[in-house]
Amino acid sequence: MSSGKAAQEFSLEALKAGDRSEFARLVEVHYDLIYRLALRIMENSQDAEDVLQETFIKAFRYINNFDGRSSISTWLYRIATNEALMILRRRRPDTVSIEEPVEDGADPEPMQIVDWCCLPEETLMTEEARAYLDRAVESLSPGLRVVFVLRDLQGLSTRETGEVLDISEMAVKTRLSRARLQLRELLSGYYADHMENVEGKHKP
Amino acid sequence: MAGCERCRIVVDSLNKTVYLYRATSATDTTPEEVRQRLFKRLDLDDFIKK
Repeated sequence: MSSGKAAQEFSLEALKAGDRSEFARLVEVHYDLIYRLALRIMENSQDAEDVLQETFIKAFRYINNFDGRSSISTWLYRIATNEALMILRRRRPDTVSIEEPVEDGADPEPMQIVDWCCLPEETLMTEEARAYLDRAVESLSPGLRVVFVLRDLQGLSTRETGEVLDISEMAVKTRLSRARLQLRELLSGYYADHMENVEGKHKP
Repeated sequence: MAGCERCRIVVDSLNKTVYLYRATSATDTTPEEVRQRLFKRLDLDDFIKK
């Protein structure tokens, strides 16, 4: 993981020996990243907190199984993502699978061709718009959502995202592209209405 | 892409979509009480500081 705080080194030896101080340091460095990841994958803050706690409980319990082939941050992300998907799967067993075959077929053709990019920042970032952004992410299938969150919001590389989800880099790229296109469609529909309002205001 | 207005709009709005999500995500933070409950759940109360 490339982001500053998470790139810190930890003593694996101390962690495996049950050193509480080193474990507390591991938690301190990663809790915010894991909570924000969980918040974006889950649909509410209570579930995100459950995922956060379970992630570190499992990390503590299974630290002796960590072989150091990936970074410890990637390992924590993997535990958190699996935990989040497991909760979602329990609730919607028919719809939640990271193995869904999203790689098949071509990307959908863009339908919404609206040039909303130059809307003023205060229109793009209202409270209502932010709530819509959240709902749009929630509408993605879990398989697309986790890739979008890990790559675009958490800043993991394609390789790291593939390691977390145990999928190929090509699958990461395909899913990311699909997720972005779906979000673009949804946002274009939303902001198109606001463009009419903005343009309407300027008509004589 | 030159001369394709439709393509320009799709690419620009795609970039803006990612930008908006990154901008709003950057302001998310974990509430302090969530952090404290985490440390307590892990029996690491003695390391809660800030």
